Amino acid sequence: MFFQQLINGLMLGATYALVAIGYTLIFGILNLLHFAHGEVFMLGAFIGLQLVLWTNCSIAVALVGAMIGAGLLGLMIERVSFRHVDKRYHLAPLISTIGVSIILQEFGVTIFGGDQLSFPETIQVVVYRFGSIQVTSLHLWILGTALALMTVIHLVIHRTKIGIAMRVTAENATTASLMGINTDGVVSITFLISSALAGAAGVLIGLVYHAISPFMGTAMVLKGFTIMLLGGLGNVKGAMVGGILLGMVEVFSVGYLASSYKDGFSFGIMILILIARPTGLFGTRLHEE
Amino acid sequence: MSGYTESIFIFMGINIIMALSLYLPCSAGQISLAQAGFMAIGAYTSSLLTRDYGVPFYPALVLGGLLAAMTGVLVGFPAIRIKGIYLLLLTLAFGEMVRVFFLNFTPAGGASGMGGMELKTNLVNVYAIVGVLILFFSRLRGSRMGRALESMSDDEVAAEATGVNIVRAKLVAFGVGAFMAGLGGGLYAHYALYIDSSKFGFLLAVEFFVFVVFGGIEVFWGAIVGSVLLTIIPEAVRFLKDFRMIFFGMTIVILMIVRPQGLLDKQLVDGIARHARRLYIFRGVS
Amino acid sequence: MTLLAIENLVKSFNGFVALNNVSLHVSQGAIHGVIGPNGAGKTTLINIISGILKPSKGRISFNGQPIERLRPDKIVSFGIGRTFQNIRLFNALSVIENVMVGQHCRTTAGLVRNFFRRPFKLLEEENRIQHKAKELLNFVGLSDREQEPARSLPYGSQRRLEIARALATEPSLILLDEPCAGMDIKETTEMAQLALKIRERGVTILLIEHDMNLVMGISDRITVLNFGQNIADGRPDEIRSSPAVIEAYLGF
Repeated sequence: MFFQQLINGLMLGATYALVAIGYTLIFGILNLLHFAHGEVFMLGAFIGLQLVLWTNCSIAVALVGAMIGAGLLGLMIERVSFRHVDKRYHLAPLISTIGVSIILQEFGVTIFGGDQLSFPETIQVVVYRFGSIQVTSLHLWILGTALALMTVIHLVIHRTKIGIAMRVTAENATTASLMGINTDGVVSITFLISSALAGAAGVLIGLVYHAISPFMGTAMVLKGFTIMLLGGLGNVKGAMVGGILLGMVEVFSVGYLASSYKDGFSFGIMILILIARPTGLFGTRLHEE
Repeated sequence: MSGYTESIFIFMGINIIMALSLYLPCSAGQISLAQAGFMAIGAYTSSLLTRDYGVPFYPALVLGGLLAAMTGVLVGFPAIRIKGIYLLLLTLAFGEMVRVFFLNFTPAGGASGMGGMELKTNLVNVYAIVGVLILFFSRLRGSRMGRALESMSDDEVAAEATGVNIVRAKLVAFGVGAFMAGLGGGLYAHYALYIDSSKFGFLLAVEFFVFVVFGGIEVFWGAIVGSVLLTIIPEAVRFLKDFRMIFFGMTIVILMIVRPQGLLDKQLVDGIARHARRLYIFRGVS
Repeated sequence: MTLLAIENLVKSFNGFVALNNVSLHVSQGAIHGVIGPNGAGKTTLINIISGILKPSKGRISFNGQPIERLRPDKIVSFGIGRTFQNIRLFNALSVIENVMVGQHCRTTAGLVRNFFRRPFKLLEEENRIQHKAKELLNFVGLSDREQEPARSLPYGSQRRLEIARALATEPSLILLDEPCAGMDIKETTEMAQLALKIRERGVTILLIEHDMNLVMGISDRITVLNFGQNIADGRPDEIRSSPAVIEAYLGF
């Protein structure tokens, strides 16, 4: 039972991590809580679903499609509703993303209806048994994809020129642009990557829970913030570890405690962190003014 | 006035009260996403008092507000040295914990919510309270405490180094703001006649936050104007049906692009006041 | 009589020692200068005295009372006011409102008393605050700019406004952190005269400055810091001829 929960927690947590990476990347570069990120996650899931329904393609193709769709959506959000907001007014960009989340959520409900939908079974489910633990090929696939994406992101951030540009801009945007980095481009890429990851996570969560709903985005927002805080604001590695941790905590608390307290956990954790160790597990690279 | 119109105005009044309750800590530089939680405390407390203990409405309302205020001060303590996004998250988490608490609090119905309150809220008492709050805030502006709050929101370190007791000011702002939110909650409960914890979550807190920033966070009239407009707009565009909320969201985004300080700012309000005074004096002369 | 006594002050930041065993005594009614090369620890010293930072070791007493662990606003109420090296005015407030904030710790009207005052009449206390603020603006020469937003003032006027604000807290000791940074000779001379006028009001001054002429010219006593240590302490003529000081400033 324990190991079963462990696998489930790992799977759920890995998906959370993908979304949290997006939140923390955007926060790190722009000092912005991107409220609409949860809706991008939700719409990514639906894009994936639609692809499967229309073209009867494999889940893998749906995943890629969702990533592309979500990525483009993120780019559009950045270009239309974020770029032209005067950043000197600290709260305006935040409120703008709230407005976007309202738009996107309503859009999701209108187009896809208010009910849950599920992904058709398209993966050959092979069940592996290790003693009392049951692992399906679906589980492995989800976990594998999530880990693969996280590895790719890690490599991009730490080994590519773009990654360096992103990290420099996160450190100090003015210096970065004076050094010739196209900060606007970096911002766009950040939104693109974050949103693509969220889209992938949407499809993966849909597979984990066998259902997606237009309201799953809102549920994700709070989790995303908790993970960001847990791992350290702006810290990608922290978001990965934090996401997995939160997934585990949720699965175990449902397994061993009443499920209505499950959410209370994330908030209790949040408050404790804020009071005891606000920089998170791995420290934030941000400095308070 | 039709029942429908009346309900819109009542909800608008309650929104104004809630937005003003948020404006107070914001004017001290503390963004709080906990107001929905304080609202819940006021709603549940006053309802339990009137329904189960026979307490008359107005005392129950005030008691609900006081309990909310005490919780506000409690939240205010850790909030003293926490700033920016961390404060946002702290207050957010707190508000959600309140929601989860009431979700599991069986004497108040737990997950099935709480009903059975008497209809006590009406246009008169809602707008009487709004009027009192407007008086409070207009007297605050240009007063010793008003200046202290403004100075803190401008440069907290300098304010403290100029002798402003930051700790006390923040606790007061949090506590009094929470009191107002508690009143709003009590009014809401005795109008909707049914409350359930899922309504008082972070989405509601964010809604109030949007009212304040949309209307303009620099002046208290902003919170009022923001609440009025953002309550009316969704109703006014009902004919758009499914696209109603999309329109609503777009209004918010467009305003933030076009006028990021919100609809009203200090300059505008002072300008309007000057013009109004000029007209008044001019009239008097002729 | 010693107004401010600093004994064996040590301040380290994660291993970096900014102040190393600094001791200093400021006499009442004096203008006490603190000089030293950049990075000597002067601003750290001021930040510790005013309560923004807490010392790692050592004691500070003001009028015989220990103040090293107190909150900044408490220290202000005890009678120490300050200005900032990089000006920190309340930009959203007007010139006179900035000064009026200084009176906060000397007045008491809270939310309740303010709410219940008679309509269209200010509290008596508020009248006094306004009166005091006007007097101080007159003292520093900014009367004609009362209602302007603080951010619209030219640099030199902003410095004088900060001083007026600090004086509004009715201090017995005022800490001036590089008040002449970025000023030309004329402005510096005016600032020196202002400092003397402040002393005439009965306020003791602790002056941090780079401008040697200014400090030598008006200080009664000077403390020299270098690398966080007190390397010389005495009258201007003593400091001028001190070998330790010459070495610190000229490097040999």
